[in-house]
Amino acid sequence: MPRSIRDVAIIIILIGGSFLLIFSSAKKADTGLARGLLYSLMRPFEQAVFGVHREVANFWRSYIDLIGVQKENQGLKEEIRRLKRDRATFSARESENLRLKKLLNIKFRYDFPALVAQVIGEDASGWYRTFFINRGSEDGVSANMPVTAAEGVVGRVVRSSADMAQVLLITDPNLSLDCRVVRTRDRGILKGSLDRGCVLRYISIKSKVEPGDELETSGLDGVFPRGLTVGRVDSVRSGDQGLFLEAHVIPAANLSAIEEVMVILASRGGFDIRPGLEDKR
Amino acid sequence: MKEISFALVAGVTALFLQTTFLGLFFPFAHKPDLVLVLVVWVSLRMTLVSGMTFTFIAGILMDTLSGSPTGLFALVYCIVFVSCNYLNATFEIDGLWGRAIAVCIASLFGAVVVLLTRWSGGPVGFGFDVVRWVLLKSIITGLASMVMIPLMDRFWGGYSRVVGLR
Repeated sequence: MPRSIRDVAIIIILIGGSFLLIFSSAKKADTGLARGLLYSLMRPFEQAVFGVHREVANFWRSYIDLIGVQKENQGLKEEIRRLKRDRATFSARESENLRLKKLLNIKFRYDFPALVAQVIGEDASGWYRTFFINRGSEDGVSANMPVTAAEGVVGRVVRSSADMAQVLLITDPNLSLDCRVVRTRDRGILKGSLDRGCVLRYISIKSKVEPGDELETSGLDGVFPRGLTVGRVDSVRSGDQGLFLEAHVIPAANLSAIEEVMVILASRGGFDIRPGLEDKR
Repeated sequence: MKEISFALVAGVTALFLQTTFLGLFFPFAHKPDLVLVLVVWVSLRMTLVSGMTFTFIAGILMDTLSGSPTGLFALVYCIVFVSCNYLNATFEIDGLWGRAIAVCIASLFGAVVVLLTRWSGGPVGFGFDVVRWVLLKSIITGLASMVMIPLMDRFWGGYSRVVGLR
């Protein structure tokens, strides 16, 4: 048989056989012996392949899930970070808000023309007690203006540029202010001490001042207005000559942790010592 | 001019650090005087003219940014510069400990001058706390020089190569 005729015959037989199988199997519900045998042979392999496939699919799904979880985890971590940052910001703002409210209360209480300023730097040498605020002559700040905080007197302006000013603290020996003991009404001159805090000098020897007494400004130095809280007497002793008493004073304002201050806008020496100011309080 | 420019940039940086960040790491009264360290470094590395010019400007800047009377730190730093320059030429103090001790003594000298000016202005209580404060601050400044001077030497070496200094 020539090769070409053989090939055509095989094609016809197989296609015809296929047609026969198609039309014959459509009418039968059972699988038949051959098919059953084939199924039996195929099943273990198919089972194995399916098992592997399932395992791979499970593994892949887990991997994909893991990537998802990882992404979700990163997202959550990012969110936690953001929330923490927000909380810190809110907490700082809340704290700032409280401090500014306190300063505002002082402003309302005393009715002074005043300006709130932020502390932006401290003394470069460390041998002097000064710091810098972010307000200067452009805002109306000039030398000798009193500076106070919600808790009490802080110091006075010593130098002022266009947008910055230097404040000398009450703990520096270069600053003196006239003070009065609130309870006994005795006067004295408060100066900074190099040791610690401040010293109230020239208190009358007859004074009944004692530890715990509050101090306020007398307004007689021409710089600080009357009635501002200064600090509290820590201890009292006799002065060097025995003519006066001296008191060690702890400032009311925490000068090492101060962030905002209020500059009282008043011209040098011309500060209005208002009569009846204490009644206003 | 190139020498002074380098020193001035370092000086302004030191002043900026002293008025801002140093307060975060040291108590206010005990923070090291980085400008003083810089003055000692300049006295060991630079020529007299350049070094003195820088020292004077640094002193004036320090006076501006502290509560001192204008010119006080300019004077103190100039004396420190000349002294260190002379001591190094005579005794070779340019070692790690030699420089630290020189800085510590310079800081003590600065403190004495500051306290004398305060004392001349009115009654000031000098007690044990003042002595402790001065000693502690000077020691801290001396220790800071042990880190800062080698660092400055490195920067100085790099800068010299870039701008072509001898």
